[in-house]
Amino acid sequence: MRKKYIIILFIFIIGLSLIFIIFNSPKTEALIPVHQCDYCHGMHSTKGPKLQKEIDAENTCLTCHAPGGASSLKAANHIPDMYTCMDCHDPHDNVTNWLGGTNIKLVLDYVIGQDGSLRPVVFESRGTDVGDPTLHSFCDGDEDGNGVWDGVCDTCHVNTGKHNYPDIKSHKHQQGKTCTRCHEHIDGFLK
Amino acid sequence: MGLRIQIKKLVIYFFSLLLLLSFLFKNSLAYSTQENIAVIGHHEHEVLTSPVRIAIGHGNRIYVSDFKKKFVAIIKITKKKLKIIRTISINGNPLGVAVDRKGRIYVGNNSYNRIEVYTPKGKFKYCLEGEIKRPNDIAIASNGLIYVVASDENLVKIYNPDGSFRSSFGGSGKDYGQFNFPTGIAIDENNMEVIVSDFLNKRIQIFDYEGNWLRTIGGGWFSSVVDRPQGIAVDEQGRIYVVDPKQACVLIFSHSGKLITTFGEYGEDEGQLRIPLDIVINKKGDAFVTSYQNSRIEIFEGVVK
Repeated sequence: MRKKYIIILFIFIIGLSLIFIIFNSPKTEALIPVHQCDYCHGMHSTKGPKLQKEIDAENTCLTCHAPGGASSLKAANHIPDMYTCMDCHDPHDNVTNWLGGTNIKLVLDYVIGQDGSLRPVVFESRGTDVGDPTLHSFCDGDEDGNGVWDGVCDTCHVNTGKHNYPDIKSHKHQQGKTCTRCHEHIDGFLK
Repeated sequence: MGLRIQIKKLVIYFFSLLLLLSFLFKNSLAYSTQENIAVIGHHEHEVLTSPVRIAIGHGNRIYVSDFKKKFVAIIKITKKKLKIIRTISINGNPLGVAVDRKGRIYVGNNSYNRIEVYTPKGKFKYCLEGEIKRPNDIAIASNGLIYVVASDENLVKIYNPDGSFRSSFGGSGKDYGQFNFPTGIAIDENNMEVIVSDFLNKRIQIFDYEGNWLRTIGGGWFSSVVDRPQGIAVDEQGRIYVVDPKQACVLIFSHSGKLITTFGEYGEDEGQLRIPLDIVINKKGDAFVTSYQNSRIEIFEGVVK
């Protein structure tokens, strides 16, 4: 009889330990606290694809990134109804990104360019207007000389009025500067 | 052999209990659709692009801050229709908005971290004292005290009617009375209480007029009925309306904090919400909800019978 109670107690303690581990595991704090799996995904009664709790990922992003949320700076996507948050960002992180690798700000390693091809993105600096590191910022103008225009804005803006890459001379508009100084994310970069 | 079977049984019972418990906790977050909700419809405003905060004033007027268009719209409600009668241009992105008894309009300027005060006709008068980082929402009590949510400071700042700083309460943390990014605020005149959304702590906190903590709604250990609380409103019966953009609905709590019902759902159609951010209730009990991603104000008539 005593043995039975010991076994029950043992199982109870193991159970409690499991609960504690599940809810306090450091692994669940891998990214910023709100970017944990269960913020966007669920196991049961999910509304969207890929076990997403919301019908679209954009709604999940904007719960915090809309005005009034914990981060309001990214409250609009580039050309509404054409691109969504996920076209430029990966909330799952791309591992190297968060751990000091290639891309900061959860920017994708590759985006689909205007010609439909996958184009690499290297975004290591937000750039500056006072001359500090600008390498691999929004618009680096092939600063590393690898022949690839891989700034986060360069990647798509290959054939516009102010950035036309075959003609290097035309690629002088605010080169190395922070594009968002004028084209803010909140306005979808359009102004 | 018998002992092994008993252990197996115990393990099964234990995990069944765990499953049952998790099911119960999950259900506390589920949407409830009550039949007593009358969703009448909405009026789409093409003029608004990014409505955020909303306030109600005298003469059937509501005031809405449009973050991207950088103005505050003064809207008159006539026979279930909304008509913009004036816009006040803001030099920066507006967030919180409130109106006092004299009709003065208080606007939180997110770009310059200050509260600007305008005359009823939209002429700039002065700013409230000092810097207010992320002036997310404003509420004005009947005694004239002005309560401002400074989200980036995790504080609620109290100002005298003349605009001078009086005191503040809150601070960063998870304890009762502390905040992790407060967002919306409302005043319960009948009970002389200040109600604040604690966005990242997933709870609503209730204080007296001097900022002493009274009680909390939500923010449980496992999960909270409130997920990402934004704007708040209180009706004359003391019911608390909380806008939750994550759940795309409005939750209604009794004065004691019991969930009565919810209304609204995710979508682009009439009566549906995408990133709802704030709410006001008029004397008839109609709710006006800003739907940021749908670029409009949604009207829910007589939400609680």
